[in-house]
Amino acid sequence: MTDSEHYQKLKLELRRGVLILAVLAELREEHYGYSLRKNLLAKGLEIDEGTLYPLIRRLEKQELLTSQWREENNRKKRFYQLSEVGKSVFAKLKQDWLDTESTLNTILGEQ
Amino acid sequence: MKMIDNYLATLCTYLPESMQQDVRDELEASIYGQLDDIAEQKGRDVNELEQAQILEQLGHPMQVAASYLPNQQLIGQAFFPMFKKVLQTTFMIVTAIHLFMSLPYLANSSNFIGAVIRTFWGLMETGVWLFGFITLIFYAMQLSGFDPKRLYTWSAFELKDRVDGKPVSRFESLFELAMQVLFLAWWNNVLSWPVNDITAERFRSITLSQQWESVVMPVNIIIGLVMLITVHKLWVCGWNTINRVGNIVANLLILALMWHILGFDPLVEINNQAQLLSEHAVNTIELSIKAVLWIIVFVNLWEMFASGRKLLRR
Repeated sequence: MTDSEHYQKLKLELRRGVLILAVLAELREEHYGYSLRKNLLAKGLEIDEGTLYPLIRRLEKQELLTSQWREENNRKKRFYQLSEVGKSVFAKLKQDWLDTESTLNTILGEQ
Repeated sequence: MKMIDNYLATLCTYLPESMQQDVRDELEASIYGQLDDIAEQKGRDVNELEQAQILEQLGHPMQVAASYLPNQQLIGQAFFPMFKKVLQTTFMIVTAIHLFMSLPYLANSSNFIGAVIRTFWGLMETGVWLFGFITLIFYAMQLSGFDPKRLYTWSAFELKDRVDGKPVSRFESLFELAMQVLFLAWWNNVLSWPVNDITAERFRSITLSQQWESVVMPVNIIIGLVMLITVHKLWVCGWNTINRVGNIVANLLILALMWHILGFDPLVEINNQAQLLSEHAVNTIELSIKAVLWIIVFVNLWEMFASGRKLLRR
């Protein structure tokens, strides 16, 4: 495996964990699949549809999100938003992330 | 748009009916959302090439559908180590039984090479069935919600003493032992398996020379010693000083025996029907036997070197 292949593989692994947090954060406001993806992309996080849509369905199944079908511009769209459980879990995860970031910054700063 | 409808309809064929409409509507909204954005940017309707690009970016319909489905592994990570262990164990046992059961067939077959090939294919067929059967059992266990922890019940106090050397699995040692028993059975004609009958019809006019009779008992003794070492290895589940020293002694005895056999002249004898064989065929057989003997010499030299090095390092 070349350096670049190692890097790509590890980068994917690193990203996998933070995707859920990013999606939960973004769904504090209501979005349908494509608008969520566009918003994340505009903020610098690119997720392909094959990953994003199954992920939000899974989060909905876990009752972290609520969803609602609505018609917009003659098209049926499923809008997702954080549920009450989702809001509480997100708050805890956000705190964990801030703690992890601070710890990691300390570790990275040591060298 | 026909291309998009085709894509979504194909994708739905890979999904259970209960999910089809939901996934279709969701993806449709996303695809058309992207098309609207492109149309707005370019100030015109999207063409077929642009539609195709969006669909290709989304991925193969089967792959996209699969990402919506749970349990995309036949055997999950939690079950896999035990699944692999069970497969290895059963394969070894079944291989040993299959070979043992095939011996009479191999011994009585007039075409030995053909019989070996058929035995091998029989083993492959059994292996495929076994693989399928074990996989199904583990798959059913996963589906039933069986707790994988129950497969890995263990206690730190019950761990086997791996003594001071490289651990050797018991099944590996059992397999070695089975092979040694089979060799002894063949060597001593236990299965009425005369040496000159195991070859194909056209080679029947050639037999091992009379000189081989002098090594029948020494071979039995050496293989007996090797079996004792294997039993010890099986008992302690690994290599230690005792079985390593025993192994070096066995290697030395085998080397001495090989030296003795390589001195046989001739290695094979031609009987009354010798005219059926060309001189070239006889030379080829002699060379083949010598090649096998030299391979045994090199394997034993390597084993001795490896065992000696391990002993000196301790």
